[in-house]
Amino acid sequence: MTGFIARRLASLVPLLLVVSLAIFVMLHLGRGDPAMDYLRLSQIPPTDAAVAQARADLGLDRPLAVQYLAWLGDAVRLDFGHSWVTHRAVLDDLAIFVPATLELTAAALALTLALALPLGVAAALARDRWPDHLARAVAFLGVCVPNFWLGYVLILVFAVGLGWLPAMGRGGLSHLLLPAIATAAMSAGVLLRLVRASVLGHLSARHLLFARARGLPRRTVIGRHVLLNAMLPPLTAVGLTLGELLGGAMVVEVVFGWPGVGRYALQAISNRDFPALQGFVVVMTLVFVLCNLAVDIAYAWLDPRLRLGLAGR
Amino acid sequence: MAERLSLEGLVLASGETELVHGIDLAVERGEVAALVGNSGGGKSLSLLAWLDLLPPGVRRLAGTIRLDGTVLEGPGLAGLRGGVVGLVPQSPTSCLNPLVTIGRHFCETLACSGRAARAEAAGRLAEVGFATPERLLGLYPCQLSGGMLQRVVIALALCRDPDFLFADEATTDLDLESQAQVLVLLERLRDRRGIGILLVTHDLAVVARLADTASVLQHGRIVERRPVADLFASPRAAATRALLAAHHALYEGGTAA
Amino acid sequence: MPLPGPTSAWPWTLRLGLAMIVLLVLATLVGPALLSADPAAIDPAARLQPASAAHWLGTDPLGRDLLARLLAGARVSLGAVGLILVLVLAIGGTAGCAAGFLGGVVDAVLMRTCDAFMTIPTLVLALFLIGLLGTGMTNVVIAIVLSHWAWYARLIRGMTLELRQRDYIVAARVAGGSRLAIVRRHVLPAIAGQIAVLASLDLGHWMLHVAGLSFLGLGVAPPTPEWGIMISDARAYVWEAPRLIVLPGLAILLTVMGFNLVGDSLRDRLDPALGGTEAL
Ligand SMILES: Nc1ncnc2c1ncn2[C@@H]1O[C@H](COP(=O)(O)OP(=O)(O)OP(=O)(O)O)[C@@H](O)[C@H]1O
Ligand SMILES: [Mg+2]
Repeated sequence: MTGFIARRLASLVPLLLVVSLAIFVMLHLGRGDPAMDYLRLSQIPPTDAAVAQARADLGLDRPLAVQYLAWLGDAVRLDFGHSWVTHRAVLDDLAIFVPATLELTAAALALTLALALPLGVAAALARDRWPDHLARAVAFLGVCVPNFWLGYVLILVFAVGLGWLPAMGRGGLSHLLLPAIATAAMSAGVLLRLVRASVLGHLSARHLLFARARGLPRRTVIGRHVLLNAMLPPLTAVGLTLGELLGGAMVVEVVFGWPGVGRYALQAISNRDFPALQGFVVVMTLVFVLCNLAVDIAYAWLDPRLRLGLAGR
Repeated sequence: MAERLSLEGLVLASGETELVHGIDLAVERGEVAALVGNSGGGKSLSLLAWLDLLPPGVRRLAGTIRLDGTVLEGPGLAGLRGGVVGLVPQSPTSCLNPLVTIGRHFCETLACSGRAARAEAAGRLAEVGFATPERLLGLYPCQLSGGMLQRVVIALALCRDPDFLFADEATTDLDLESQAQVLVLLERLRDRRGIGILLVTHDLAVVARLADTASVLQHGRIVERRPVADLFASPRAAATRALLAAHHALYEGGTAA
Repeated sequence: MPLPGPTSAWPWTLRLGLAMIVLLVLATLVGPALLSADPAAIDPAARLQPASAAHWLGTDPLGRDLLARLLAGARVSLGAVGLILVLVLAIGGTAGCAAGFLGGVVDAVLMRTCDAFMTIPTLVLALFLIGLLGTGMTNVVIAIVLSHWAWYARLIRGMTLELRQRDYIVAARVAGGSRLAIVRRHVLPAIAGQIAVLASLDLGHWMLHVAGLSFLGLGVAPPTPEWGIMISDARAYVWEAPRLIVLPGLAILLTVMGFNLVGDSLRDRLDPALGGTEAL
């Protein structure tokens, strides 16, 4: 197992290098002349001398390769410089906003799993009967509904109409529930379908025949031999779902006035605050990659074929 | 202990096509009945139908199953599985759950756990010829060779001490040594415990050595059923003669008639 | 249910989805002409009116007709989604075919690039790109295209690699056909069907991205109507006129449903073995 984790960690290094290069290239091609933005935000008139000075300060006069290595060196230490707007270290700013987004994402993930797993299994076991139709209709709705709009509908119904839950802000569980539902809807729908398909696929597995032939009770056959195996394929999808949830959380934050990293990104976008922007993209990518690593480890822990390095047997 | 398990007038169909057209089969205590026949003839399906384990697309249209004269239906058939009849399905390499250790397969089948279960499982594995069975219990199916898996499956099918054993080509994948070991095991089970065995095989050498009677199943019909010695000496049905000729051609270098 | 199962050539889900899309397209093309109201006409006297004969769905805080704005907004959204579709297929198709057919360094570089683009969560990448390029619908489209092309490039590369082994393409290559001609004549037609199905599954997804990003204020500039920004503009009126939020959202929901009904039914037809991924 430690060998597996070490191998996976090692394989992350080249990937992250490629990602960093891609981000750096996009940063360079996409942003126009950052010196001008820097001067504008610092409220310095853009005279030739000031522009030259700013370019030197920002290190823009060095060769590209040198700039990349310097940038990478900083990024590895999570040093993205200071925000041009708040003048605080970007990492410190992110440390305020990212946890809120992660809290919402985690809650949405928990909700996604809590809905998709039992409903997906129930749908598969009741194939083409009413629980199946109902679960699939719900999943379809979840996949189609715009998350931010669902947020407003939830506010209208549960906060304005019924007055059961607060509409805005971050606080206890009650604040978390509505935004988590809005964030989770899409992923829950996607995952429910995957779980259903996977369980259906596993119902015809040959080892189930032998399990039944040995006289095992239905409980054991379904619980151990169908569900355990059927959960593996959707588990890989949970990794991808996390990207979807992170993105969804950032949009839903705006609806519920949730003080997360989405708000920070929007601010950075409207101010063209590049240090903040690159800090945002690097940190969120790292979060995503690490979550996927965790999912992979969970997968390997469940599947001996991977853990023992016997994939393909 | 049950004396006789029989299947009468079995008709199986998939959609509109009839696959098995009313066959009779039986196993008796202390006897080995062989079932031979062409590939796709319906041998495996008949065994599955016997235990009510047919795959989704296949239906049983007719057929009576009797255990010592008592007719069994639905729950009764499910009750045969494991305790009365041990089934070794065809291609046992895919019969074990890849995510579950060999030891746990035994625990769940024996419906007990802990030390006693481990000792029991190790004993069962030793029976099918494993020299160090304890080592096997912690392994996953992907860590075993095909022949080892096949013997594990046989041990699992036998571990609840069934009165009858249905073995669907149980020795096909094995090397000669393991094959001999399994055959010795089956012989011993029959002689000491009086277990009744239904042996599906393509290998007439196995039939000759082990079986008391043989049935030839051709395209969903039993075309001949007789004591093995008679069958080999004077085959009647064309299908039987073809089988024997092919067998002699393969093993004795003669030419097929 | 007496409805035909998903195996029939025209399952009800496919027919319903197509009907919804055709209806929507017709409404956006013909609707504004039939409707007397101008989506941009501000009328302070008629602000926040409920539904009436003059304004079928009522008016917004500036007295603009909601139905006219919804129809005008459909144009922007559908146009953006159409553009995304074309661009993703063009970029993903070119990259995928190039990687699959040329192999070697080209393949390696392209696939590593794909890895990079697939590692950054889509919305994070889209926000980053919009931050670099600036806001506006064009940049939203570019951002969504750049955050989705890699999946298609990967897929098309895989299909191309598989096709390369096929006899008729090997024969065409041995006969000395130019690579471009082979791709155009043999590869593209062979993979077009599958890709079309996958793309139809993503249309709804892209629609949601477009709406979400314009909801965040990154898309069209204020006077232009678009469903996402209409919801965002109506935020202050959640209590007063929830209709202003509910209706544009329903428009998005129904459009996405139309796309997904079609996509799911087509996918089931392509691969019935996937069993159980039927739309409804
Ligand atoms: N799930 C199924 N659905 C429909 N038809 C089936 C199914 N399984 C098997 N059949 C058909 O039933 C017939 C008998 O199959 P069966 O597996 O019983 O043959 P067999 O005698 O065991 O052959 P072999 O010696 O090759 O194992 C075959 O013609 C096969 O096509
Ligand atoms: Mg068979």
